[in-house]
Amino acid sequence: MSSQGLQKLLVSFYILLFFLFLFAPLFMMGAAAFNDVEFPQVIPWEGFTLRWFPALFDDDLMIEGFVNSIWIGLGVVCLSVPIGLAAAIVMTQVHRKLQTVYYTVVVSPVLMPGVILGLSTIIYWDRLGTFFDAAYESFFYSGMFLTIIGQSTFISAYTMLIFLARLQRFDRTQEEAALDLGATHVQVFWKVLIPFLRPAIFSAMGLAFLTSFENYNTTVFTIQAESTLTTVLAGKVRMGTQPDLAALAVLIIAVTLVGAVAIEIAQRREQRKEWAAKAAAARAEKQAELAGQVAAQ
Amino acid sequence: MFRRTFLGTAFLAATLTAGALAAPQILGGPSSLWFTQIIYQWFNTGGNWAQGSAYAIVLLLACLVFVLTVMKVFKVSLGEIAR
Repeated sequence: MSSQGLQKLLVSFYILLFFLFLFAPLFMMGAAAFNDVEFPQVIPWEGFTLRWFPALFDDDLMIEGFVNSIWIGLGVVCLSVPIGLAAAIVMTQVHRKLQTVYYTVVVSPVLMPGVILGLSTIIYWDRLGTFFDAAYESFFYSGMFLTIIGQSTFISAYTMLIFLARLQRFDRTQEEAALDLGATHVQVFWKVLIPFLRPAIFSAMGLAFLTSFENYNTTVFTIQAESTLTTVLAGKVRMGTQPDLAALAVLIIAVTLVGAVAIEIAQRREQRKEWAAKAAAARAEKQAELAGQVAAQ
Repeated sequence: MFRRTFLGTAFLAATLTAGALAAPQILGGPSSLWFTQIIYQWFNTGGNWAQGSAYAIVLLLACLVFVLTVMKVFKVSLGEIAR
């Protein structure tokens, strides 16, 4: 075999290993969700069953955690998208020399261990609650509220990165033109900047929700007496795994796949529309040019 | 250029791993605990917040020193790491 052929073979072997590393556990777990045994396993195969899926919906703790996770995710979206947007806009306004310092400060929560963010959140609000002599039922000690606050501390940094990437392609002259034509700053914000940032806002919302939904390190400290899906799952796993966990994983993977495919299709449709519009514009321009030439002759 | 991106990514992996809690809790055995698990125990089962905070500060400082040292040694900025 030639050395080039060998190289190709090795590369494909590597790619195969890489995908096995990524997906083999998922396939194994997916298969275990349909096996009719009390313990998640594939071998020996005891027969096909769907009973682990209804079992999931009978688990009140899991449902409660799931609902809490969704509410927390929505809260985090409401809090961290505006904060991230504001932080990104400030980044474009501060002096060049200050930008590095500012960037270091606002991006540091990304590098900070989530455990520490969770801890500092509960300690801070606990002290504050003690200081104001707050009742135990007040929001100072509410797990849901603290989790939203704690997660937002680092998720706002993620959303800021998304907005920054989009803002780098923003043409400032558009703003100046609008101001020149008599728009107020508020109008410029709503009619020029926000429409430009619209795709970034949607992706920031999606990212914020998903990051919040799957977060464990921060949540486990801030949630206290309440529960989210991740803390319920961690508790269940410690008691010993059951096939209903595999069933849940299959459901989550299915939802993720369907969502990803739907987004991809929507984006392609948008892209095709954009291309069609561009082609039409180019055609119109060419025709106008031709007409101009004819008129000049 | 590639070397810097590579370093930045390696770095992010290291700090993310140091701060992980879910993976060692689920996959690890009871005999060897990660640092984050010790913090978790002080807070939840131990009920000693002050002791847990002390451990958390140690973790925070360790991560900080690590990040700053690598930034200094390899001359990369935080912008290249986090992006």
